[in-house]
Amino acid sequence: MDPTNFSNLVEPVQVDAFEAYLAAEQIAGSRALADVFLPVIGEQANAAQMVGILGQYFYALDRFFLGLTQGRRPRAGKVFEMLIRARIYLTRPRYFCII
Amino acid sequence: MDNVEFTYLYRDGGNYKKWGRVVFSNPDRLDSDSVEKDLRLALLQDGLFIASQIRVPEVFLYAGGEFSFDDHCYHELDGTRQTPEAATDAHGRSISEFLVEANREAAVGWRAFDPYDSEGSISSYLTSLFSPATRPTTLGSDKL
Repeated sequence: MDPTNFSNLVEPVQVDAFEAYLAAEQIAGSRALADVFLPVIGEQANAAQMVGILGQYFYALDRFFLGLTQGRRPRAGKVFEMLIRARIYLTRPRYFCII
Repeated sequence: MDNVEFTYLYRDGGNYKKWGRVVFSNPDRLDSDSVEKDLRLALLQDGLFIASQIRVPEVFLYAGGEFSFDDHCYHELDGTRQTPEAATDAHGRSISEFLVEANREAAVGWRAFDPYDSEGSISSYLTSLFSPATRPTTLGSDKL
């Protein structure tokens, strides 16, 4: 990596941040689905009943996942801005030395 | 008491931004900090919302143009502040009425959409043929 290139410093961190975001999203999404669907399906339901209920709420799930995917984009943009700010803050002493 | 300015933006996945602002009258003399706090409770995490649902102008970067993979449906609250400027809300709402509207829409659910399904697209036309009322979306689905 060329440390003199600002993009090369930020982009790997952004990729790592997005991976962490997706991992956290999966955990939260799993909890949300359990909170909503377990009371409806019942813990003793068989596979056919479970699939039937999921199919019944197909459009609710469609909207749920649409909201998730749409929401990732502005958050990705915001994270980029936060990383830039953090990077500037962390390198600030070096600039002071130059000055 | 001053009016209250509501500032918001559209931010795409590449962090390109376009800003919007609306000034609301404030006959109930609400404090802008408490307004912002209440608004953030009504909006999605990170202050995201659907502009058309609370009737503020959309400031999409893709409006009337081409879409990119960085585009999406949400606007983002930047903040609120007191201002001596005259009210500019096209619907003549006070900030109290705006808060009520935001809370009402939050209770109904923020209706995310795909920009590729925007008005005028073939997918929008096809979707419009089927009323959402015919689909089983209860179960608090709007709050998912």
